[in-house]
Amino acid sequence: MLEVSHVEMRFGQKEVLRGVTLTLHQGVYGLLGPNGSGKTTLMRCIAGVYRPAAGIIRTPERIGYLPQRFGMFKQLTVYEAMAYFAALKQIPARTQRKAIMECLEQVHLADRADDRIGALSGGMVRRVGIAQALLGCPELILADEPTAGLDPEERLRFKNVISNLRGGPTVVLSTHIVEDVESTCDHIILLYSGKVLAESTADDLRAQAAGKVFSVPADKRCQLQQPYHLLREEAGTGTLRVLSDLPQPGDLAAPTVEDGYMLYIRGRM
Amino acid sequence: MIRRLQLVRLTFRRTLPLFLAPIVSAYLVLPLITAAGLASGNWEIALENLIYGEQALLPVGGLLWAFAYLQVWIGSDGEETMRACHRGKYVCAAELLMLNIGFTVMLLPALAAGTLFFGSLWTEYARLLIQVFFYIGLFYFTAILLRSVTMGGMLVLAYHLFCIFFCRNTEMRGYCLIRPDVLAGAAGFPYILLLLSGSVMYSIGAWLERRPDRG
Repeated sequence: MLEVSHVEMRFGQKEVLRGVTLTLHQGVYGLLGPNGSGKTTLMRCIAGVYRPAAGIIRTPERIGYLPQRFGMFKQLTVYEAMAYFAALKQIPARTQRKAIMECLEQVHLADRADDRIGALSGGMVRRVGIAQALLGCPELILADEPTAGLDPEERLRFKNVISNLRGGPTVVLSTHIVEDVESTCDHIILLYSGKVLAESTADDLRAQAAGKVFSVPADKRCQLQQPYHLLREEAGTGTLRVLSDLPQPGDLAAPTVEDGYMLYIRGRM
Repeated sequence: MIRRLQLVRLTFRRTLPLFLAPIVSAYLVLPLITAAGLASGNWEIALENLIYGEQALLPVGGLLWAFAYLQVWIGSDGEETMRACHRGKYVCAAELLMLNIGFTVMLLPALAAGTLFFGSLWTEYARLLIQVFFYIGLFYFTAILLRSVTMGGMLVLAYHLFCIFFCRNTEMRGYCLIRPDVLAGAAGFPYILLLLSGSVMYSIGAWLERRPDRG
């Protein structure tokens, strides 16, 4: 279990986290928020990289952490890099090999164990990062923007790895990609401007936006009633996707998690 | 202990040139410059060459080992991941002390060989080890304080060069803790001061390292 209680963090005069309080149990949690909302700072505080200015963080003993910027030793082989983390995590020498190979198998890199890190693609290095986070049977896994820089196939693979962790450790994924959260997370935490806006689920977010999302033909743009929020212009169909509490000149559209997310964020803008 | 040794071994595996440089200095460069003195038939010149070379090269060699290890831990792309393994409470001081001991052991045969030619060089050996201990402590402290191994290394290197170039200057030599111009003992060398200040810098470095960035 992870407990974050009234955590505050500031850099100089800038308040980055403002009294963040969370209690996370087993399951996959998505930490969702726009850039600059404090996601990375919160993850670093939980991982122990930063010490909060105020508040308490209680974490399990064993943590796996994949930071946003994951650098590895390019001269080492995948196995050696994993061995480095195994030594850091104080995994006994006699069980290291088995533990390392199991983690590499989870991210489908067991056959690349003897390859140098420098010879791997960016996506593969990211997978090594995920493997090292899984090393040592962590009770809490923190992954900051885990799918950043991954191609669609790699992203799918990553989602499968996370899905396989269900029922095991508490997993926290920090991202601004709503689709990733929608497909992998049981719970969603919305962070905005250093504060927790809501703790929800994908279904809840969709339900929140139900009846407020409209698909409006582009030629009726001038008939839109204020206030409304233009989500996007659908390429090809020539329609506008609009979020509004008021009826709009178009059809109601099926709400998505992204719509629910925007509803919350828009309310704070 | 074994796991810490594993970390050091893997670190050196990725920074092999930095690891090998002091060994090459001790077992190739120093014998060559000493041999050049011996070739002239003057043993005093040969000993002077040896002391000068040893004082100029080997303390920097110790620094290189520490640099190779710390560059992974300070300001590298992997730092965040590694520090998270211990919730930000890991300090490198123990590994640096192990490197210090390793450096001591590595130099033993070289100094023993020197003793065969020039008589006892053990005071010289002791001086060198204390200097290396001081340099690594100073480097650790400055690198952690400045959050940059490059800046920390440059500062220590700048001081080293200052010592090499100004040790014969009567006004400046008082500030020189590296004295290639004299044998150990002859300079009234401040061993205790070096040991104490080295220990203090190690301790402060470890204390600073244990404190994660605070908001």
